[in-house]
Amino acid sequence: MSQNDSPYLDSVPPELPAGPPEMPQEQRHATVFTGKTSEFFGIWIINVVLSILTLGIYSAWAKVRTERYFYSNTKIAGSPFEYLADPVRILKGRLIAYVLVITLSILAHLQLFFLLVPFYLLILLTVPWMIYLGLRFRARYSAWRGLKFRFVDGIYEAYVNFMFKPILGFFTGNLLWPWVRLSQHEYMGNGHRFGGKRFSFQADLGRYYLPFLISMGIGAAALIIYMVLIFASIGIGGMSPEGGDKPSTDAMIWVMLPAIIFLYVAMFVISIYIHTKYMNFFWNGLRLGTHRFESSLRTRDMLWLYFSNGIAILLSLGLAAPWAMIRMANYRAAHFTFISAGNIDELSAEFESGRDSTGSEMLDALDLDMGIGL
Amino acid sequence: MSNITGIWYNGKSSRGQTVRLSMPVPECLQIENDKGEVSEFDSQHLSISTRLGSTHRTIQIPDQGHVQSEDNAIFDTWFPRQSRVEKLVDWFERRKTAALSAAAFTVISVLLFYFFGIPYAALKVAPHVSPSIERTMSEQVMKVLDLSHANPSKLPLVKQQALQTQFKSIIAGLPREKELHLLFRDAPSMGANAFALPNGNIVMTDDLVKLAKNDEQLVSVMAHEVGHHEHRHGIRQTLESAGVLAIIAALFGDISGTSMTATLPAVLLQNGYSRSHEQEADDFAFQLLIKHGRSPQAFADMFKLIQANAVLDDSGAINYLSTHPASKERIARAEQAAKQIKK
Repeated sequence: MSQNDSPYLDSVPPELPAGPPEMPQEQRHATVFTGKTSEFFGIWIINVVLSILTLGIYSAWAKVRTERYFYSNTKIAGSPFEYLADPVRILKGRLIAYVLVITLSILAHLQLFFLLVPFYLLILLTVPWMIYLGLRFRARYSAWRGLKFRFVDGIYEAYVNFMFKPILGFFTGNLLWPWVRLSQHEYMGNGHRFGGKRFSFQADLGRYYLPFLISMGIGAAALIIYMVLIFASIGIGGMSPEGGDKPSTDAMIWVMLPAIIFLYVAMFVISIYIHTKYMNFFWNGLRLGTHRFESSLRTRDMLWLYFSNGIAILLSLGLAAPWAMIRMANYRAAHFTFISAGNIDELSAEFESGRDSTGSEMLDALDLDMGIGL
Repeated sequence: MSNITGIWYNGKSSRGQTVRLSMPVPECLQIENDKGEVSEFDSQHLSISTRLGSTHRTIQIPDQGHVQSEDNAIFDTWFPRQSRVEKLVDWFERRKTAALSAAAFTVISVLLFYFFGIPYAALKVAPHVSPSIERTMSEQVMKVLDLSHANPSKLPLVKQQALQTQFKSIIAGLPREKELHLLFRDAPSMGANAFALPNGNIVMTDDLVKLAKNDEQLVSVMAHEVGHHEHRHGIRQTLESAGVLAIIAALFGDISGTSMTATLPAVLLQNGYSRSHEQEADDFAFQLLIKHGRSPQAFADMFKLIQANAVLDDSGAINYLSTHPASKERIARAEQAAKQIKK
């Protein structure tokens, strides 16, 4: 903004020598996150109090204020993002989700399996549809510099990528899992638009397999160690003469407990590792016209963040949650860069091709808060 | 006269225009761009984003995009007609004392709700739950039980009939007497055990009957289970766990990614209710036994037997971990009640 006061800026470009015309210079724009824990704590705690007092009704407004806070404090090239969703629409989605969850938990508690199983299957059948509606919702109510995002890919593709391919992957012993994730990334990446520009996504399947195979290796090793420990503990338990001896029971527990804890830690590490890698793959494979993105999250940082955040939230009875959220947003912003080629002031709302404009919107967007873990 | 800077995006391009905003006359917003061109807008036609911390504010101009500005405070004087609710919310959000007292208020109200609100609501709602729900729920449990780990009882019929007679005698005259039925099952995997279902069926395992030294002890267990039914503990527990889930959803629903930490306390919190239910059923049993001229001492003896049995015959980790100190307390209470009858 202050650059506009400079007398030279306006005069320089025309006098540049006419070099090669179409070689846009790449320019890196770091993401800046300006949210502060002290400020967000106030917003968060009021959200909690009002949500409780209104028996959950306010939670829709709470969500909008939270999202707005994080969007507005995330800035690329000096401009904040905007979250524009209407709380009433969110409330609608929430009410549907509440009804579903409460029905499910009541059926489960009453052990009415003849109702529970079909109901559960029915909900599972709608998952891709809900993911699709969720993507549309988030995109439609996100904006930057007054230009809106949109998600235009079809519902059929949602079923292919979030149901048929995962089922196929399941029946092939999960060996196709990286391919399934890659197709989901393609679906999400290619389906988004910003203003009139389309996002495109391209990535190499081999790269997706590498962390997967490493995870499988670590997982298998962890499982073998776990099995050895469990068998050892059963051996210790069996050594007692009549099977009722107390000391041997104690010893058995002291071997078995660490084994179980070890397995959980291993699973935690693996899931964070693969999640981090895939998140990087997604952003690094994404293009917006000639512009691209760079995500450089590191597994060990993410492990530490998730672990220490979880401990802090537990020990503070939840009060550390706003601190944890700001901390995570800070880390993510610090490792996310927008790399523009060409002028980012030239992005426009005009469609590049006619078929992008969604003619009739049969199904509206809906937010059910389905995490798809990108 | 105060004016602020902002950036105007026309909604068609990502190119922003630095502008100067001022309001010389109330309700009339003037926007001046860097070329000195001035546009005027009636503030009634503009929509202003609500205040949120120190984040930027936006002014939506119909068909002409919007203006963003970081100058937060002046918006409230320029545009006083905002949603009252969100204005109040913002007022609270920006005050440290308000935030802290809100935190304290939340903790206290959640605790009150947990300890008094939920159990009270469950108590009041439980009698209105349709008996058909109780029936389907219980039949389902029985079906699963019979399919998986229970067989018909192997106890001699004479023994079964003797116990049935005793059972009839202690429940005689209870308000929900007609609903109560005693069933026997052979279920080795459940050990010496007894439980009450919401429809009034009380199930006893063969192992329990064999473990008891006399019928008096078994009658004391029956009385305890009858207590569960009279107090509608089955339905109340269902309602209470729904209440706990509701609290957790309200508290943590807004935090994404911590659902893992939220489900664990839910399980622990529900155990708190079942303990007070046990106590209620115990008290009911003691009174019922005393009314029929029997001693609660039998309950204490039976409990000791079950405890000793559980520690002896089982080397599994689960049993080891579940022997909580509360059992001792319950035995002591039974003995206390037995002493009172002697006096």
